[in-house]
Amino acid sequence: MDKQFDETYKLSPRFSDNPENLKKQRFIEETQIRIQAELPIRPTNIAYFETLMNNQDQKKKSKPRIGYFCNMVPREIIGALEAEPVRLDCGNNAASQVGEEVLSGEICPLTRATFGSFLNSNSLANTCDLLVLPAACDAKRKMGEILNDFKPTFMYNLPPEQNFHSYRDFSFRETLRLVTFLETHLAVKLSRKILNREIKKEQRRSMLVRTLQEERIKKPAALTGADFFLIIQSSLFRPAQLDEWLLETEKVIDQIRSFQPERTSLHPRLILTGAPMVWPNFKLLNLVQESGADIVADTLCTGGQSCFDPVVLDELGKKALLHALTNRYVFASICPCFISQTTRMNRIIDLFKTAGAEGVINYSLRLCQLFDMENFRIVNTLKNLKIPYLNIRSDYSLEDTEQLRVRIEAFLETL
Amino acid sequence: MLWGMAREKEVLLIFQPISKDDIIDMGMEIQKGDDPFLAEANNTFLVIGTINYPSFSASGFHRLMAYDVSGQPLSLLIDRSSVYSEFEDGTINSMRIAILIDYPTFQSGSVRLTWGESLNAPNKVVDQIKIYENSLDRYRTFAWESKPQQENTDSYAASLEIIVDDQADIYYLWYLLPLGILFILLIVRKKLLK
Amino acid sequence: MNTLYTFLAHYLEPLTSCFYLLGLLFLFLFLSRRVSPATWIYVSLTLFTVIFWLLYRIIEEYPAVSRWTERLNSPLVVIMVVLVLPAIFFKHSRWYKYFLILPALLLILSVLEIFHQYQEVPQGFAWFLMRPGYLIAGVISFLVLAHSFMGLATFRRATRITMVLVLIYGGFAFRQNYVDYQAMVERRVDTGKDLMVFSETTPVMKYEQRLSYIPSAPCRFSADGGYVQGCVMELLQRIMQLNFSKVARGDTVEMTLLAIALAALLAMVVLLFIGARWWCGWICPLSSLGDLFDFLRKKLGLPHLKPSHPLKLTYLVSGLSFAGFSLLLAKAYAHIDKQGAFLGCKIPMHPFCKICPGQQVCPVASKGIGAYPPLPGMEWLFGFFKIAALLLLGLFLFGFITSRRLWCRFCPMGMIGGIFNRGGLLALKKDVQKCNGCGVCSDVCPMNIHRVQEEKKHNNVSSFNCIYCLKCVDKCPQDQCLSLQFSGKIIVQSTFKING
Repeated sequence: MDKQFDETYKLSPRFSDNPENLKKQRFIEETQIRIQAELPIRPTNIAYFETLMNNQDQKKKSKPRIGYFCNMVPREIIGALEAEPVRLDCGNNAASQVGEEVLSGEICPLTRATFGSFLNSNSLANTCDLLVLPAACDAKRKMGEILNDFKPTFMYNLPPEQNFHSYRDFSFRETLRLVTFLETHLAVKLSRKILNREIKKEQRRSMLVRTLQEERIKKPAALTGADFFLIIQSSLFRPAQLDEWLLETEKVIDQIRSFQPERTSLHPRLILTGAPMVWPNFKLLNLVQESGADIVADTLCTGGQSCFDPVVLDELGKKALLHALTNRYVFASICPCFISQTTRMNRIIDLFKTAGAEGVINYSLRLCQLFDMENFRIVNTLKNLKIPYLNIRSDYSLEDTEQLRVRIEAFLETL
Repeated sequence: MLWGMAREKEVLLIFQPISKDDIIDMGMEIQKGDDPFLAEANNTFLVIGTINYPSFSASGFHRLMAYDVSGQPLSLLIDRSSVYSEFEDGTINSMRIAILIDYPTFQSGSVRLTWGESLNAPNKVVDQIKIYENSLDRYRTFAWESKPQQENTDSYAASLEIIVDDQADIYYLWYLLPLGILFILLIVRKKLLK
Repeated sequence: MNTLYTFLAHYLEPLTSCFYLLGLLFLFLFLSRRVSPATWIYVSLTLFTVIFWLLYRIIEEYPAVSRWTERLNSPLVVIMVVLVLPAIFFKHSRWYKYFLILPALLLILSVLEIFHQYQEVPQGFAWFLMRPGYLIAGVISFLVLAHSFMGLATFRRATRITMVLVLIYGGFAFRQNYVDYQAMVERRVDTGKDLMVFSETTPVMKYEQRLSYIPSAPCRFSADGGYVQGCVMELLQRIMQLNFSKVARGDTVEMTLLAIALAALLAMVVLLFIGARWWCGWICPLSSLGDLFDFLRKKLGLPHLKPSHPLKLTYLVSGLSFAGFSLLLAKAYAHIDKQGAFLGCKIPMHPFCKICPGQQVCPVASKGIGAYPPLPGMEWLFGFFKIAALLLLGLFLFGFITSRRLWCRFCPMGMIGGIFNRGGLLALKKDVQKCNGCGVCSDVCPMNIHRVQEEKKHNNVSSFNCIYCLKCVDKCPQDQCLSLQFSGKIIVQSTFKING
């Protein structure tokens, strides 16, 4: 197995356990829990998802734990190798301050926060045995190098273009490298049958999230955007028992279906698009909710889009299964880290039309060049299509909350 | 439209003049001398031609007979060398025959040719039918003429069938019209797609 | 049963005409473009049927005209109009369940027909005897009924297996009646014959003066003849082998042959215009036999070869070259001498058939490996036929064993259908805005077509090589992204579903 990172200048992992900062992190999370607890309508079994998200006992593990980032790493492979996948993108503002002290203030908050969580020796991130990072952006690439000092890391290289014809084999080889890396470190061989079984489980998640999104489009009042994100993220960002989660989500869907709104909602319907919004950084969701609008659907890789595409199987040989996984995870992704994003614009416009929305809000994370520059195309395309559009550029801190509120309310007035 | 099995088939042969070019086209050489078959009487003619069309099939040389207009059988000569079997399974699909006719039959202009499994005619088989230059004026060839179709609506044993279209001049070209229309339509639709 | 049959044959005869089918479809095309309400469309189509029926009966009084049009009749036409088109167009209407009575009835009638034919047969007889009208009606009824509760992939598999049974085994398993069967047995000879003098192949649907073809490769060189006359290459060779100088001179026989061949060509072009290369994807028995290897490969979990562009091009160019050369040989055949040689080269009848894998695979499929015909000697065109037969068989096997439908890129019979893919009535359409670029359509495509995935602007993604197997439509996870459309009307669409 080829080694990606050379050990010559390896640094020993360093921690900076700062109890004050940890308290701040906890406080931010609890504030968000409180804000969501005050929402008028919540599913009756929301406690399950909240426990999943906030329970500190999650750190105990019964299987090897693999931390990964983004939406492009095939979870099924990890599950099929008898490990549990956990997505480690961090959304805590306090954690990003920790990271800022060590790295720099000029890198994206998500990177700073995630690194901050590694600096905390007691965090969920540090309970992971291995890490997998897709080389989606510069920040992640360099972070992978740095994190390799903490845990054995694999850099999952992505093609620069989503050009199926030219890069299909390249991506497939990367997937094979990933499999080899995991097999070697976990001392388990990937079995075709078990992989098939895992794929079927994840397909079910895909179907449920789609159904959930469709039901929400019809009745956005039945489940607020923040709760929707909570439900999805509790299964991705925490080591969840997928079978349990599927059952609980089905109950939520049933509740939405049987929900009867007292009166027809006059809330403006919005589509949310843009950068990842990770728990507890639900600032924008809270603002929109408080301003009296509904986010009926989204294209966020931490929201509805994360489970939107299913893995489609044709042949069942091991190679064919891995190809199918690569297709879904790499080529179906609408992340702006790939050039030529026709599918991304298609998704936004298509979702806008099918959801019967009135406007689009774009959330770009400050210091993220990809989403920031993507805004250029979105603004002009939507203007040509006469779709009302608002771009919010913000980071994790809560200082600009009021300014954003004013902007959002002004935007809603125009609808 | 009946799709059953016919027991016997027949067709009308109309006489046509034969020229030297026709003879050469049939692949026959003109021999010197007199034709022995025509030497017997002065006013006999030999009608020579090749049976060569899809639905003819005979399992042997004796499965076909020729009749004149009054129904009298005529003697048939069969050219063994010209026998062609499409599937080489003993069924004859094509062969050259010669019919010896007398003057009254010649004047009537046609004979009837029948073939089928139930026939057993005393046909004479020669290795090769030859053309002799001294008897050139007494050779004729034949063409097909179809009889009016008789309608049998509830029986499988049709004894008459339309074999060949008469006046099949260029009417088949009419098939090219719908063919052409379809292709033009196809091309137009292709251009519209671009 | 006999009276019923003659009654149906007589009254439905006008509707068996290809002109009827074409007229009906063009009328439908015209009307649906004008977005007429549904009742209007039904009324117009019924009116057209009645008028056509009357016109046909009038023309029947003039045999000089009618005997030309009769060559374009086929029971397939009326059954397509009565069964297939309603199953496509009325599928979602509330009358559909009442319509299903018709195929159920026809299926029952077909079974009764078998019993009826058996009354004339001595005991112990094992095969099916059915008049072609009933066979086609029965088979299509069965498929129409079955597809109501089958997924697309299962339905396609059921159709392909049925077609292999009918078209390949039809030659000895489905004769028209006992007399026909006896005639077949009498013709039957030792099949150890050389490939070049392949013995008895009289298809079941052989009518006087009328040849029946369907597109793709329903090879009649299987045991005892297959069901239809054959594939488009068989017809083209037949046309090439006519002596056109004789035709020019007015040789009646030669002209009749040409007329019959042109009529058959027209009937086949009608089918191609309607179905383009769909016949390749769902009907072709040669490919279904080849796909047995593919099935085996999948069961063993082995990967398949994704052919590179040079390999695909090689297959295409070889197909065109061999087909073109064979047609030239067929032309030469028209002028062979008594020894069967042209300029000293020995040429068989139907030269393409002699090198086509169909004439090697179909006998083996119908009678076992022992029935593989002995290869020709080197005297046939200096060994061209021997080498080409082996080479093409190799291409066929390699294509199907390693690379799904790579052979179909070679097949000249399919290429004729490919011409009609863009411009015919059948089209594969894509709603570009719904595409997520996942590439599943490219991966599952047995012909390795990339256009469906790569097209980002236009709606119509049909291409020359597409065989309309509809695997892409089946597997696409985006609702209403890909669809199969028949002159603008959606037949089947992609929907989100998970396997298992």
